[in-house]
Amino acid sequence: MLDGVIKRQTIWHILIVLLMLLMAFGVSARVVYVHVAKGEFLRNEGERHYKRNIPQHAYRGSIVDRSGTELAISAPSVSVWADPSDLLEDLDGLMKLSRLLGDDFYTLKRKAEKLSGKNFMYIRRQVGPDIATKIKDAKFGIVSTITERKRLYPEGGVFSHIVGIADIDGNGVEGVELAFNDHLQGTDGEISVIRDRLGRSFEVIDTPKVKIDGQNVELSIDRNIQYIGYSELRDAIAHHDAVSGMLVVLDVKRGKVLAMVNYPAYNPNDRGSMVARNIRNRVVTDIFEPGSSIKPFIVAAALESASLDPHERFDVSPGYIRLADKKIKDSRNYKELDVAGVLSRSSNVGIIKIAQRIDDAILADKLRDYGLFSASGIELPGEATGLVVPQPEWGSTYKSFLSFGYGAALSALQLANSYMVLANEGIRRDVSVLNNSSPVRGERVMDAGVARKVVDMLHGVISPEGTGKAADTAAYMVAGKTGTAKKLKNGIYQDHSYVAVFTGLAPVNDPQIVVAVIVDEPRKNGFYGGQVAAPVFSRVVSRVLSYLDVMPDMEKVAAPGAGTSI
Amino acid sequence: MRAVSLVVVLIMLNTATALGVVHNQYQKRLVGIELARVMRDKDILIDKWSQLLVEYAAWSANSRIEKIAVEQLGMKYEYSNYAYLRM
Repeated sequence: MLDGVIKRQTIWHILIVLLMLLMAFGVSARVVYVHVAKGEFLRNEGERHYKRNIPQHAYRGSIVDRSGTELAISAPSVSVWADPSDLLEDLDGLMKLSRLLGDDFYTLKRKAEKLSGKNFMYIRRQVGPDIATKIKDAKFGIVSTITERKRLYPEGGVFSHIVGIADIDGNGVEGVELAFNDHLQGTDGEISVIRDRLGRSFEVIDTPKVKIDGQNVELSIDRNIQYIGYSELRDAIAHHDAVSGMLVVLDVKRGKVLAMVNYPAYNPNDRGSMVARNIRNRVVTDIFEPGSSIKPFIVAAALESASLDPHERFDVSPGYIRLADKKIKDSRNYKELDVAGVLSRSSNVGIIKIAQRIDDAILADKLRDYGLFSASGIELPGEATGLVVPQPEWGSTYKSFLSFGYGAALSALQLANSYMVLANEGIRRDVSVLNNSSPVRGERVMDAGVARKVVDMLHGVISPEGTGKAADTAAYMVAGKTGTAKKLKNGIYQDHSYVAVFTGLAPVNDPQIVVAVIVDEPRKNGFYGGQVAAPVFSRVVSRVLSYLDVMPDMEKVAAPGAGTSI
Repeated sequence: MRAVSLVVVLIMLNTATALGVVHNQYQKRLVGIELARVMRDKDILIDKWSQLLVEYAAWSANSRIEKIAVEQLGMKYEYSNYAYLRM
């Protein structure tokens, strides 16, 4: 009897143990199934409810001038968006919205119909604060707003060509915005957060992509000098009814650009007003025949390589010379001129005679070394290389035409850069637009004594007898050269279409700046470089050197008739 | 007896450590919420700062200053020994 009871108990024990083992196996199998077979799916489903990836938008860096004033900055603005199907379901609301935005109702409706398969469309991006407030106040159920960053240019047209523009998505498309896009743009990031039941994130659990904000770009341009150049050029173009103009101011000691102006400019804050031909930074991208402003370099090449004596006198009568079938004239018959006189009177006959002394290959090499017709090294996009016939292909008259600035073309920046060689006593530097502390490295391309002699001669151009007397200033001794070139259109030089040029440096005794002024097609109040560009040079030099606290030259201040100082 | 005491102490230490972990996790989440708030504030301040910079640049633009100097104050440029605006 007892044995039977024990036996039954043992069987029950075994059954219970087996049942528990079976249950344990079932649970284990389920655990394995959940973790292994369905693990990824379930994890994702779980994470979907509490985890969220949030994009981190990088800030685009600002562009600032050399004193740190913002020239381009990203500021918040509001964009309006909607679900296209919501718009199509509420046509009355769409009508009210189109009236508020000033948009055509049917255009908006067509856009919504086209995008009806999607659940997002921009109605208007980066609207002004007034419209944003109206939309928020109207409380349209069908539209929403998001905050984006809009690129703003506080200085407007004054800096438009050098700073350039970025598109609506913040990608640089012109100027410094394009050249330094990678530096300015930064990299968007992403973080993973855990959210509570109200959707508030309370813990960052991962950073799949680190956000790196864009960096600022500090230009060597000075905001005030840029404005001086801009306002003087603008006034001169209006006075002479010219088509356009360019102006460059270079810092001689550091090889930096202090101002770079194109006129007409465009307002980068108002894309609707932009005209394609005005967007180009012509100082860098466009080339022109420099006319007589090339003559100092012919003289320098002759002094260096052809044993030209600066005091030598040249017979320039009867005031003209025949080249091929063309009669090349001086403004009058000067009969006899020394080298300085050839420059100050801008004698074509004299410079042709000087150029004849120089070997063709040596002249080609020298002009290239001086920086004429070769890239300036500036960091801006689209720099034009100069245009000059390769020396082996020079015909019998090419050198003569080249000596007074025809048959070859260069940019305004290259012309200014070449004058910087004279100002730097023969040292040539690449030009930079960045305000880093290190001066641009230079190399000697002209004998220092020759450079000084040429600068002295160029000071004579400003004398009362010289062609550039209008470039003189009351307080500073300046040196420079006029240039007037007929424009070439459809292969024919035009009789009444000119480019007026003046390029020079100041003060003569210790040059601080080089200024190049180019006015395209002046149609009123004169057309010579000495009449049109030289006065602009004078006013710009006066204002810029005064602004830079450069002491006036004592010779000028003490001279009778000089104005009174403040 | 000693062994039992050791087990009790270990259980207490284990419990305390577990509570500490929970507390730390809670603190971490509080700090996370605070960090998120501060980051939002930072973005708002950056936006405000950029708006102020734009405003500053617009008010101090050379073209505006020159216009006021010439049109309202009747000043003009003097190109004598120094270039300056004079009344």
